Amino acid sequence: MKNRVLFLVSILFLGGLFLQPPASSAADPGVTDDQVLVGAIMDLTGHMAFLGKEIIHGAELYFRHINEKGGVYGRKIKLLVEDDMAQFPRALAAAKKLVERDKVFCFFSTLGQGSTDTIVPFLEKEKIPLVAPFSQSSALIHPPKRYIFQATVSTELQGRLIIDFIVNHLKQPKSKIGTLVQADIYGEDLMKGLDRQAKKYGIKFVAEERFKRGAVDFSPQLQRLRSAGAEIVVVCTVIRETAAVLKEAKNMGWSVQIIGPSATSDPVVLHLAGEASEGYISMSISELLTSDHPGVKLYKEMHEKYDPKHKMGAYSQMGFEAGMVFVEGLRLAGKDLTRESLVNGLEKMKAYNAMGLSLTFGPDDREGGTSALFIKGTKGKYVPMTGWMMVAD
Amino acid sequence: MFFQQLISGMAVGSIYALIALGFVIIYKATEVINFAQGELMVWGAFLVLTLTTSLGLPLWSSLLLSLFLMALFGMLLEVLAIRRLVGKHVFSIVMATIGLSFVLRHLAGIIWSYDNFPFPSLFPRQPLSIMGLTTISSSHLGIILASFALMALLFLFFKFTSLGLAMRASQQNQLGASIVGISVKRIFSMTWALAAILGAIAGILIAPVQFLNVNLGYLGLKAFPAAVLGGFGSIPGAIVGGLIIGISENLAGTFLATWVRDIFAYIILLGILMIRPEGIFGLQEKKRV
Repeated sequence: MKNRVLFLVSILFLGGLFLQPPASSAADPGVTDDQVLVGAIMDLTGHMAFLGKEIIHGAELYFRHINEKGGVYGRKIKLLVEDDMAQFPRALAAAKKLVERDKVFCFFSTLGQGSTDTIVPFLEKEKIPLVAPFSQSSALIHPPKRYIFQATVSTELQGRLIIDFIVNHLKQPKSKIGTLVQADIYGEDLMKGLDRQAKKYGIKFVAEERFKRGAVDFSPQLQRLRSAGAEIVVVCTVIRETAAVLKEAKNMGWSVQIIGPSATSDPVVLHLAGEASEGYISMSISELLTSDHPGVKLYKEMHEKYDPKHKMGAYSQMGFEAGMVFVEGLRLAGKDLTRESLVNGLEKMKAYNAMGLSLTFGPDDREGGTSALFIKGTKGKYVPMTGWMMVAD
Repeated sequence: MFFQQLISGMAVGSIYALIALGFVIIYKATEVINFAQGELMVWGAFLVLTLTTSLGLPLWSSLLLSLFLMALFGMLLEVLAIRRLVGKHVFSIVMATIGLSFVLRHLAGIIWSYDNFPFPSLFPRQPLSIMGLTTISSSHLGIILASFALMALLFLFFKFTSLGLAMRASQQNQLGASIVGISVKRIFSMTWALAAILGAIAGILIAPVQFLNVNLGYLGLKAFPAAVLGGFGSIPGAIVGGLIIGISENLAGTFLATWVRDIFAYIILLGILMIRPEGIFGLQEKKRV
């Protein structure tokens, strides 16, 4: 009797498995008539927590603005954020969770080259688009990957621009240049650009120093750079390390010109470094908050409207800008929103200027931005030094 | 350059020494290995920040108040989390204090956020010129002097005050101490209070140099090899161990290769455990069963 019951139950169970309703037709997961579900993977509690929080803050500010106007083609944007604590295996686990459990439509922004590189093969395999990752690695776009749209300026390009800046704007082609870069893809990518452009002008670096991500003591490296006679030091750092380098140089009594990439363009760097920040030059890939660019004005308005207590900064501005790029992509994709239509829509983006950086994609072009401007730390604030520069070829 | 690296190595070594001291006094009193010592650093420094910025207290008042509050906090942790562990299997103790360190770290993140904060420096910012030959950082020199002053105070405390003597007695022989009338439970509380104060001072000294954020506690893990090197259970050993590790990792990082610095402390730890596991000043303890 028991065997019979067991037999019947198994038949029913197996039957149930085969009698599934047919898979929903052309619609991709995460898209309904009134909502699009988007995933993001950020460091919210690790050593890049400040960046992660700020980026999401800015993006959500813009999405709220768009949602209150009815969304894109009637679809409101819902952002699901996972914390990877800047640990790459966690990023992959988070990506899988967002895809398999939460069934997101696509990914909007991931933080860090390591985390992004870790999930890219998975996204490519699943054919899920990733728009505006916060990874400036040139390897992400050369060769271009169909589903990955980098809406920033790669560090390799920034490296080239820095050398151009020193030669053409500062007009110091003969000055002794030293480098201090993070010992990972981020730093190596900038070095690639620096080396390439230095070769063009016949410049040789007097010293090339490295440091491990998260380091806070730079005295050995700075001592060596000083002994080598460096007059300009190009750093590839983020927030804390930049401030630590500036403070250490000041502590050493060494007045050297320090120049850094766009990741250092948040005024919090100047705040952390205090007086040592005077004269620091950074690259920026968005207009400063003092500009009257319509994107900047919108950011300030939304900030005032929804979260006036929060302190504005470059990273929240970049998050806002990334949100604008994503929404523009949704618009270009058309009302019939699928992953493929999003990719096709983004490919049509030409000279879209959200916050100063002009973004263009194309059938084989996933680079996005190829220009930047230089800003200088003056009395605790960043002021523009140049207009938008492109690489001299 | 050698001299500058020596000084900065001694500065970071003094911090390791202070944290290692915290480890060692707790271990000596209770045989508990406190992996949350680094987090006490972070909490002490954040308390000072809150007292100065939110309450607007002047720096020195905030420092003293923070140390007082940290002593209470240390005693609270001891009563809530640690007391039941005394005498239990060492694995449980280690797991519990590691867990405590996670809790404290993320609690700090929830309270103060995971951002970086500039921290007021106790020492002047101008570099000092030594006989016109070389310059050293005033903060580094200040850290060294403050740490040594603190260690001297600790020495006097243990040698001449009744509480200090009671703690030493309890460390040597708990049963004997309680027979003589020393309340061992009170000694446990006081030990954690003292360790919390040491941790807080370490945090206050290092935060201006390295920016305060909740992950600063990882420095505590570097102090662990220092305590082992000196002989886990030896107070002078903790100091010597901390200084050796601080100086040698800095010099190795400068003159060998940058990446060496990050692993040098652990190379030393492995070396010591293989060659002389009881450490420099440690005594081979034989437990009578």
